[in-house]
Amino acid sequence: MTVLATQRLVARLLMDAHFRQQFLDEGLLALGDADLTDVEQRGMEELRGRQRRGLEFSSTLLLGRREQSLRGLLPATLRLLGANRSSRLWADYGHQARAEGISTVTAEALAFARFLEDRFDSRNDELLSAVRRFERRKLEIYESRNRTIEPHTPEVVPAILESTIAMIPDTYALEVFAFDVTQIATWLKTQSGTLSIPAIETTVLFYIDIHTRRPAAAKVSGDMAALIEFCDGRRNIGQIARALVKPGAREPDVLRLCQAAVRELERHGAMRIAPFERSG
Amino acid sequence: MASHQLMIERLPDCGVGLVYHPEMRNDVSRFRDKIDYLELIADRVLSDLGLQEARFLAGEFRLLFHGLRLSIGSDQLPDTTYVKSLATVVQKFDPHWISDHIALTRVGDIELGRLLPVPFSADSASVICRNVRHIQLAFGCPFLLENIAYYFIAPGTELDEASFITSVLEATNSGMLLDLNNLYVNSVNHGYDPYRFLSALPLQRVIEVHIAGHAWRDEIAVDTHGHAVDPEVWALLEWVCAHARVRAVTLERDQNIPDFSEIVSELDRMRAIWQQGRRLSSS
Repeated sequence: MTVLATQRLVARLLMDAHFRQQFLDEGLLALGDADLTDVEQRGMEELRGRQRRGLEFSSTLLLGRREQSLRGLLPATLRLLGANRSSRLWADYGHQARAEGISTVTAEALAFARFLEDRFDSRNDELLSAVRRFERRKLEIYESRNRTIEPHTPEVVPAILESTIAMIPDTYALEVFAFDVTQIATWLKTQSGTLSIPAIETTVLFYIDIHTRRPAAAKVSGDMAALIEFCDGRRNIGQIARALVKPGAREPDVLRLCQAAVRELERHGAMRIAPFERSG
Repeated sequence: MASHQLMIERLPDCGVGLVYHPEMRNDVSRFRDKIDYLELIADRVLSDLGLQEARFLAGEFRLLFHGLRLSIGSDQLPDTTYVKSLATVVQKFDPHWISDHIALTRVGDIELGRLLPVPFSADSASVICRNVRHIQLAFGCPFLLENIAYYFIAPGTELDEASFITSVLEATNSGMLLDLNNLYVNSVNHGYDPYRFLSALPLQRVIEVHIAGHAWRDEIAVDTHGHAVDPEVWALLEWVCAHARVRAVTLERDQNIPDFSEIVSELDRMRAIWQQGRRLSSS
């Protein structure tokens, strides 16, 4: 076998509990058509014999280390589940998970978040469901960080009121939660004890911070969420303000509010403000 | 490659140091006269915050950098982005050397998140040599390879570990970061004599030594970096310092961090052993 093929096989034995058990029960038969040399065959047999305890121990260490990473990636979800329940679920996940397809700790945390979705009925545990969705969304944004970090190239459109164009990178998402989920998540990450749940609906902006390139989440108002949806790099600030004017409101007032909001978003690394190019 | 040999031979003495953790920040400054250098986990310097902290520490201490994710045992070239990031760290801080482990942390596109053993075989050695040469070219500073603690022997093993390590060190003209706690737990778990292992190594290539504590779980000795250094490991340090021109002795205490005075007393003991070794080797 090639060095890489052997390495893949050993990694799978360590990470896939079902495959490992099959190998421990059936020996080389469980490895299918793996083209092992005599030395590799002997080494594999030793893993079932006197190296077995070491193999199982290494697997536990590996799972433990990945659980540690998970605590950093889904901190509020795990806190809400409690230490015992989250460890039990993580062990169950470990029994089901396969080495293939799980390439990074972030991908694994996402897989675990999906595993939890299958385990818990969101109707019975609304808070857990909301917190898990909140953290999963942040991870999805994080996973996408290398794909689309650059903003749209602005189209050349005629200036109307302002010479500034607002652009939010593709890697963002807006979601509405039934609770004040940002406050709950922050509280769960930093404190212990009981929590009185603030039953206030929140809209959360998930994005990659333009300055630090890290995933971030911020609570935004409904008006801010509407503004963000218009900041696609194709409209200048005047056009955005005009689109957002509600009956009875004065356009210059809305424009001032939009300018302030866009500056605030830029300050938080959620948006770029680019100079507007005049056509012709 | 000869230039790497020369670089290794000419490496200066660094003395006694400590693997740094942010929670030690005030203590390391308070005990500045007890610490000759700090060893930083290279991955932690890659963030803006980590870089800022490293710059601050560089004002007070000599810095060494220790990598975790080069995965030089993987049958694929080390991750280009990671290598470039570490090369930038080398450029910025100009350390005497940089180190990583003889291990796998990645298989194909799977990040394992932990150091796993490679098979001790000729094929595996040639994979490592290719990767080490690639890294040496990228870093332009001496590269040290560290022995890991492992709890099973990787299938495909056909050599003893000391011969395997020696072949890699000599073929690549690398230095060795000898982890004595790893050696000790391996010798207990796999039933061999650690002093025979040491005698089989090219000791002139041992540049840095790591020492740490371990714990027992289900009759397995586990490299935890969370306990006081064991008397057997102190004895190994005495032996190595008496037989090799060790440039740096580093204490690893990554968890269960005690009152800093306990760390300082271990640093004092390390210094006494290291200085005794220097006297012996110069006489």
